[in-house]
This record gives sequence, C-alpha cells and structure tokens, in this order.
Amino acid sequence: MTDTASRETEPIQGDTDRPVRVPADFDAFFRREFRRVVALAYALSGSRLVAEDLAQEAFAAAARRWNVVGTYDRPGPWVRRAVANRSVSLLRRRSAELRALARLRPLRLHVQPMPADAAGVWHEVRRLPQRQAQVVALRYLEELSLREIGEILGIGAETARTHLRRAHDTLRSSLEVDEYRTEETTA
Amino acid sequence: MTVQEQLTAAAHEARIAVAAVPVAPSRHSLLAPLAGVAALLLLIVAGFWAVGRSAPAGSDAAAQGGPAIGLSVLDWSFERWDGTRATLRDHVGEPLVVNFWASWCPSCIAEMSAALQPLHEATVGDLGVLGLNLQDGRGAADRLAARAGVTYDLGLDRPGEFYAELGGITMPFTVFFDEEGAIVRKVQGPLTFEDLESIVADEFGVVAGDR
Repeated sequence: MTDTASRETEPIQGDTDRPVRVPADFDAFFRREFRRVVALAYALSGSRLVAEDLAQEAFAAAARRWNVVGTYDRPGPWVRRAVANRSVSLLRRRSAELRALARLRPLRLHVQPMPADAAGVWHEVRRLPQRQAQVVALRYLEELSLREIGEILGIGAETARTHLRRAHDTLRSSLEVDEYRTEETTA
Repeated sequence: MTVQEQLTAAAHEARIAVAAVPVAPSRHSLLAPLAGVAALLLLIVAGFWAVGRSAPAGSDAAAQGGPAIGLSVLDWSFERWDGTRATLRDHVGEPLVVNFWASWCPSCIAEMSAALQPLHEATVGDLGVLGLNLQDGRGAADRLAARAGVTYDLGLDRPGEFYAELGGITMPFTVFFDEEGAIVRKVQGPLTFEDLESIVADEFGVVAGDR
C-alpha cells in the first residue's frame, strides 16, 4: 500500500490537542536508518538502555530541523554525528543520567545484550580517545570509507586514517592480539 | 584473530543485538519529544500500573514490558467504528485476533490488506478479527481502512490503553485470544498471511488454507 500522500497531509491526533506533522520523507529516512543508528549509539555508549534514547533524540532533533537537515544530500551523516558526539559525551557524566533514564524506561528493553567477547571489544574501544572511538565505530559498524567518516565527524580523511591506525595499535595491545602467533597457532 | 577481525565480529554482534529491536513506529516515537511529555507520562503511569497489576516485579513478563500471558483485559471497553462502546468480552466464545494499526504505519496497512483481511475472509464464523486503531484522527483511520479493503471489525484505542496494557512496543502489534478470552500469543511487528495461518492452526485448530 502506498499512502505517502495521505500521510504527508494528515496530522496525528494524539492525546494532545496539538497535531504533529512529520514529513513523509522524514518518515522514510527514520525507517531506513534508525536501527543502524541505535547500533552506533549502543557501541559507543555501552548502554543498551540509553542507546535507543540517544538515537531517538538525534532523530527528533533532525525532525525539528528537517527544513534544513532534509535538504542535505544525505541527512544520515547529520544524525550519526549527533549520536557519535552525544554517546561519547554521555560517558563523562554517565552515572546519574543513565540511572535517571533507566528508571524512566521500565517497560522497554528492546536491545539485546551482546555476547561477552563482543562487549569486551567495545569496552576497549570506548577507552580510546573520543575521536578514535568514533572512527572505529563508524568504520566497523557502518562500514564507511575514511572520506565518509571524515565528512560525518568534520575532519579530513587523512586525519580519520591516522585516528584509525592509532586505534588499531592501541587495541592490538589492549585486546592482547599477537597477530603472528595467532596465525601460527591456527595454521 | 587480528584486531580488524575482532572489531568486525564485535560490530556484527552489535548489529545483531539491535536487529532484535522492533523498529518503533516513527511518528509514535516522536510524539513524546515533539508534542510534550503528557502522553509519555500517561503511558509510563499506565505501564507501571499494568505491570504492578498483572505480573510480579522481576518476572519475565515485566521484563518484556507487558502484562503476563493469560491476563484478561476482557472488561476494558473501546469505541467501535459506529461510535458504540464494546468490550473484548463481546467476542468470548470464538478465538480472536486483535491487531493494532495506525494510518501512519505503512507496514500496518500492508498487513491489514494482505494478511488480516484474507484471514478474515477464510475464517468467517470460526475466528474473530478486530483491528484497533491507535492515535489516528477518525477521518484518516476511516479512509485507510477503506483503502485497505477491510471488512472485519474495527475499533478505536486512541489513548493507547489497550496497546500499553497488552505490552505493545512496536507497530503493528497482534494479540491472539482463545475462545475463553485468555491471551495465548503476542506478536510485535508485521505478520504475513502464512504466519497467521500457521498461528491460528497451532493455537486454535482453525484452518485458513483455502482462500
């Protein structure tokens, strides 16, 4: 069924008297991108309780500015930057805010916990400097090019490459990866 | 494993963890930040009340975000399409499929025309189908139902009380009641005709095979 035209023109009548209009192209954008942005927030915040909130905040902000954000070629980078920045800044003032958010969300536990080994990898990623953690998440979760990552974070592709290389170096020791020995033992 | 391989595997796990997330109905999700906190608070209060009323704290049902399977909401009333009030108790005596939908949810509309309406046509007399509309203006709901070709019973759950009580967390959301009015199955997200056919056969022994 295609009901785009009607959805574009009909306001939502909820409990409030204020109808809310959301453009149909935002609706499609939300549906296409939401899960991936939640995954990004989950990896970078480490909290499945707040990952969806972080993503929703970013999409709500995009909706409020849709007359501007919606005119970008790709609004995806805009919400990813919002989520990447906010996920990392949340770490610095996390405990109080996380507890408050968790109390407000007794009915919603949508995101499943990750297996311990994967959670351990992301834990080490979050211990990296902020930019390196963001680059790693965008590279591996979103499978973006260095140019695209740079565009999202507002840095050059070369700078993104440097952050990624340093992140790999740090993680190689924090995850206790010895690539040569691994190859020998699996041979 | 190399560090790149470990990161690739960890990214895969993160995506899987979130793949379990039903995509929230976009406008519904955005109502709270956009239209104020009143509706959200109402939902939270209703949710607390529902959980406290129906399931012990810490139970699986509470963790899943809804009342326990088997809870009867038979005496809750809703508005029928013709403006009269009705309760689910009116449907006791036949198995009942209750489907929550809204005009702003494209997968709901697709499910109504491609799965629920055919199910209704194939099981008239053996099974009740009730579509409860969430949050729409009446005009929008009416036009969408007509466009989807719906002839089964429709009602309005505009404040979302049934939806919250039954543990709805995404749209569409479908709840299966047996002929005594007990909840036997809940499904978050869209269903195909084949899904419905299989569930009503398993739960109720109703055959919807020959359309």
